[in-house]
Amino acid sequence: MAGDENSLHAFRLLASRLLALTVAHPSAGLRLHFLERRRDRAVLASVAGPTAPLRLLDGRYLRVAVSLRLFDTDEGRRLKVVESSCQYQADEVGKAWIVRYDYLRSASGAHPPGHLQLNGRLTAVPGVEVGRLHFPTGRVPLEAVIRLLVEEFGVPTNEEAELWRPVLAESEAAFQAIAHRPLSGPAH
Amino acid sequence: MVETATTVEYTAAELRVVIDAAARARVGVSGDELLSRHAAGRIEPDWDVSDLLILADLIDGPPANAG
Repeated sequence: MAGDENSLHAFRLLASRLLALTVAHPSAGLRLHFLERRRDRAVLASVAGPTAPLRLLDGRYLRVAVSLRLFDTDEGRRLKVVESSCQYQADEVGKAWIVRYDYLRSASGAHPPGHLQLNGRLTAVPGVEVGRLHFPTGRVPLEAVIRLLVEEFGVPTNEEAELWRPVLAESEAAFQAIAHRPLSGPAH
Repeated sequence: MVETATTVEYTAAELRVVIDAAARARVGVSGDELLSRHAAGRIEPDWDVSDLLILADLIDGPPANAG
């Protein structure tokens, strides 16, 4: 994605609009969190704080953290999503988290960089704590998380599906065209 | 901290305070301990700290031309 500081703001605007069309409570919003005056990197997260979740229309919460960075390449400066985490949770503090999609550049141990974690139990395998498992997923975009919330968890939306579905589809298609796809584990 | 409607600027010290408070509240370790464990690959598999690691990368991540 071509990049200068404006591309960071454009990314924030796009993510904010996707959420505002769909699952975000009107009070929720996203901000770019910078380190001092550095404008080559930012974390996209809630306006309420970098570790706070966004309130959703079902009364639950979505905690979003996206690491954005501008890189100098042979084709000029480019914006990359370096890491991301989206967590759907039943309470504001996150003790009752439900599902989390992470894409971490330096995942701890042998966990896949792109993974899904679920807070639940495997009825077929007693004793296994599902929350400790990292199911490989590759990178999961915000559009897919929004669809999961709406279609599977029944979160209400601000606009009708006829409006937001094509917007999500177009946005996700643009993401898929340029997205880096990680291995499902360490390279070494 | 310098705020606008769409941006916030933190000092590194302010970010460390945010990370430390959240790490203590969620998993009972300091921010420094969390980052030390992360560097050593010793984060507990069920710890809810992904956003804190992303935030920490804002301070200590590689330079912009690292590719």
